[in-house]
Amino acid sequence: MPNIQLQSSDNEFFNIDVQVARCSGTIKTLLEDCGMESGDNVIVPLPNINSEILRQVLNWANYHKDDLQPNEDDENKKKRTDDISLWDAEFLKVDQDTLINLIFAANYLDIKGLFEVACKTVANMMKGKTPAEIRKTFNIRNDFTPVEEEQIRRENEWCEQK
Amino acid sequence: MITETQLTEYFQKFGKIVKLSVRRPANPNNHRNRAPKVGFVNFADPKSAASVLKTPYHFINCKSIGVKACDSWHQPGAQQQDVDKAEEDETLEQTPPPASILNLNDDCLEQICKHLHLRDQIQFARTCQRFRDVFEMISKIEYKKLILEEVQSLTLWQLRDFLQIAGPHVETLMGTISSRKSKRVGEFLGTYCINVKTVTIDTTRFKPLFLKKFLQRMKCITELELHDVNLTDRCVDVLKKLTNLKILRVPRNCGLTGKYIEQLCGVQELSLYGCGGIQSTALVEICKSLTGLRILDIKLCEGLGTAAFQGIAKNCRNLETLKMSCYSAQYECIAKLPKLKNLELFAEELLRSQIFSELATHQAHQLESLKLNAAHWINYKNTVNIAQLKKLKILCCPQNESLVDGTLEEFSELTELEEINVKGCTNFTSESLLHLLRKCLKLKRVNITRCKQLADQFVLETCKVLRKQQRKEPLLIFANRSGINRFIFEVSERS
Repeated sequence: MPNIQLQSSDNEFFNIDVQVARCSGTIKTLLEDCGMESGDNVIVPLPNINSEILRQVLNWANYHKDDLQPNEDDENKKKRTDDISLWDAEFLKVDQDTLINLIFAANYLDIKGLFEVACKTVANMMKGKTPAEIRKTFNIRNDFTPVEEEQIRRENEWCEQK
Repeated sequence: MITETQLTEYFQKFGKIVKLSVRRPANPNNHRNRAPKVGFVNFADPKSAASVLKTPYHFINCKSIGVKACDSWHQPGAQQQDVDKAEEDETLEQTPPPASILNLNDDCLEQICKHLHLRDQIQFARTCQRFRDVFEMISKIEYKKLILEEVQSLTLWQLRDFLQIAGPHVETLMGTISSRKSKRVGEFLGTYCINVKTVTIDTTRFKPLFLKKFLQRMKCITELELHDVNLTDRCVDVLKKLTNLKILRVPRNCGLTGKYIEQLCGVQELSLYGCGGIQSTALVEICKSLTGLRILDIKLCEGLGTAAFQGIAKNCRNLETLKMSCYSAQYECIAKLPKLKNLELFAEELLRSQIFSELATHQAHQLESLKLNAAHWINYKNTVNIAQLKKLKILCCPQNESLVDGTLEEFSELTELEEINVKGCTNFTSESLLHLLRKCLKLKRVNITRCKQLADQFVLETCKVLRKQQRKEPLLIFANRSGINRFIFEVSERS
């Protein structure tokens, strides 16, 4: 099996086999378009992803390399977030910054499975929370103007608690 | 049983009560709902209510009582306490680290939001401006078609918040407005769904004022269906503001007499199905002023008499489709409609033979579809008259004991026929149907559901006929519960 090298933003090199690399739609297209399939010692620079995140992404890809590609747009499954596999759940038990970076990387590298499961994990962190709680969880500043906020509060009455 | 005094005593502990009421059962002798199930407590200070709501169940005299926030609209600020506290917490952290989730692009945020249920999506949208924008982007696609049952579990303000964002993107609105909060819900829909084009509402009770509020800003409606919603004539008067209305269906609204419908000049399709109160005079007015009417459904309008049908025949110059029930009136004049293409007749009694002779006289080169949901009309004369309708593509005459071989033989003169439905007719033989197949080369659909007399041999023979004809298009046979074994189709497909 031929190998290729991925170069992280902090200039670390990762030697991986092509099959693992093909989990990423971005790398797959790159290899096919540039005809880099056969040649050895291919280096793919990934200036957006640091070594720490890339290591984890590759870890995930290595475990899932034999998976079938998920169906393109299966609308019915969209709302389900309770179907995360045990391994993935364990894999995603990371701090929030890492989780967000994984989503960013999965999106950039076009790794559907990882993207999906990481987004679900974030969605699960939001479920059943009030806006104030969501802000707190993700450290988001409330940028509605006081007028807007006051209006929402005045008009929206007292049903936040179900 | 807990008394109101006990309730007052208990809830007073949380703050001053303005009003406490318990809904008594309507019929105290009916033991199934003897115990009062619902009561309302209004507190002077919303904060008292909020503290009651902290615990979902309370115990009074060893009986458990569940408490819920009421959807009352005028009790602001119960959450103020908590909100204030949250804000305090926020200000305490002097330099909050930047939120990394906001570094994600919209694509990622959309994906996250799509995994949330509507209720959580609304909370998401209220978190910050960026999230709100993301939710709006999603709702442009996801809530183009809004099914009211999906938003039924939302509290009023959640619904209001949702509609504020998604409402303008809704193009199709359908479902039932639940009676519990119908007034508010209707008002919100009316305020925010300003670009909706198709509205289908059923089993809601509409009063004129409510309907007015509901429709007040929906100026783009082209298609409106209000199914069984207790409409009155005054409700119809409200509809005249919908200047773009093309299709109006108001089935099963018995309170309508037909008054004011004539104001809706732009309507091209009108269904008054099952509106038993429609009067002949009103229908004539409708026919006079709705000059563009192409489709009219007056099935089960029992109040219509001869005058109504004469009015239709005289005035509906553009009518192409007419569906009607036949009672004792003289209706054969409708055969003179100059553009008629599709006619559906329903009758429990005998159909007048005049209708067939009139159709043969006036519609021989025009009528394309004839559906007769009636029994006892088949005799030699009527059959011959139908056989004159040379342009017929669709002929439905189900459930007729008197449909015999001779009838089908006459029908085989209809060489343009593409579809024939003889569902439940059991008195003809396969030979006559095969004869029809041989003669009508354009036939695409044959419905022989519940024709028990037809057996496997019919399918095999049909295959032979089709092969001889070398037809390009397939022939569909609907043969549920007929005498034909389903496996025979597999065999014949292969051959």
